[in-house]
Amino acid sequence: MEGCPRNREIGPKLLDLIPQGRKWYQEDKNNTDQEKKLELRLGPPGGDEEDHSAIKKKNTEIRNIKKETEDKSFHCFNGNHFSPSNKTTSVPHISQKRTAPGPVVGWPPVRSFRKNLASTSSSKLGNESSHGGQINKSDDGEKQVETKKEGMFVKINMDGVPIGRKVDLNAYNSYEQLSFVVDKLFRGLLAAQRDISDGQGEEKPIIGLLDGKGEFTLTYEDNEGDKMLVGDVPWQMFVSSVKRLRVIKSSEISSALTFGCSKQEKMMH
Amino acid sequence: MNSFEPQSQDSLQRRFHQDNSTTQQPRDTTTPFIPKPASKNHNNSNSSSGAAGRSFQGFGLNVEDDLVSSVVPPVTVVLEGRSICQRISLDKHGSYQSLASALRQMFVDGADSTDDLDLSNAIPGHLIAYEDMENDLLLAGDLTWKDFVRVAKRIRILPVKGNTRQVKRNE
Repeated sequence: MEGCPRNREIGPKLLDLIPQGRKWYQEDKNNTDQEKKLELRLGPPGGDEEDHSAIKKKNTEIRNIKKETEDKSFHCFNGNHFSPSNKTTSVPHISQKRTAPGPVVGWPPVRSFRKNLASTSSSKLGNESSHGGQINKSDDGEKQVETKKEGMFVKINMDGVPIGRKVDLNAYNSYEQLSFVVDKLFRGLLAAQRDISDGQGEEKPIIGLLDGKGEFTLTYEDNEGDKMLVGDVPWQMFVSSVKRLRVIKSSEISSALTFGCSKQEKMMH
Repeated sequence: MNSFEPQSQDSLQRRFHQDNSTTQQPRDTTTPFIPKPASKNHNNSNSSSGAAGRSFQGFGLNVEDDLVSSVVPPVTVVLEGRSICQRISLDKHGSYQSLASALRQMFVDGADSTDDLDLSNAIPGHLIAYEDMENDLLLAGDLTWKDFVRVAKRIRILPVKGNTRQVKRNE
């Protein structure tokens, strides 16, 4: 729209130049007129040398325009959104019509800007990933600390005593310490029960829990639900697999063993 | 947990911002001069929305904390031999000693405030036990107070002597 009035304005100047020259000159002038038209589209009018330079400029500008169009099309292809692509297609046409050299000048900064944006986004992503890793590590550390502090409380019950106790296995390092603790926990309770049932007023120490020679024997349930005698495996392995402790009478153990023997005999027969 | 969640939210907001920046690139490339203020406005709006989200989420977390604290129900206290039970809120006590004094006031007539009060002598001639989530009867005092509050579902006060009935039942 704006280009048309510019061409009309240029027309009268060309007509004024024609009557001044000769026929030969007129032919030359016609050529120059055409050249001038081209010049006017691209740049200001000038002499012969300027005309040649103008022609070269024309070629270079045409190439630049092609490159610009290619770049824009590539960019639109990259874009995932349709509506912004439509907007982008409309805008460059206006820019081309109005000012040809404008896009040429403004194009490089845009590319550098985009590159900077890409680099900043990549760096941000890296930072976020590192933060995530740190957070996870800290959480794991906290959990470990909490488990250590809280200890490992396990329920323990004793035959003849209706009330159970809880023992922190992380506070002890050996089976002997555990047997002493069991004695400490249940001696009083057991004595209270026996006061009524047996009529005895004395507190007897609970000894021989581990060797099977005492009145009571210490057993436990492991993580598979099996009942095991305490003392067969290393302490750490025991601590990692025990789920519950139970103090039972040694006589019951012997009866269980004999029952097992009788079963085996039946199988043989 | 409380400290962890806000950080994750911040990371999510950062990702959201990056997504916006990536989408804004084509606009900038098409017209380098005119849309820059528009992009700035978008950035401002993003930052404002982020701030609002943070404040709202923080408020929500506070509410959740209050709910968690109020979820702990009062615990039934049963004295062996009595048919009427009482209830006590363990979250209002900070230690076993506080619990012992409360139980003494509940069950001992004319109770005096003694300094050497303990679970073992809160109620003379009785033991203070509790039932956990697995319905096992355990003597109170072995666990830390916080663990006890979390685990105890019912408190039973049993006489030290005269358990022949219970023993027979167990047998």
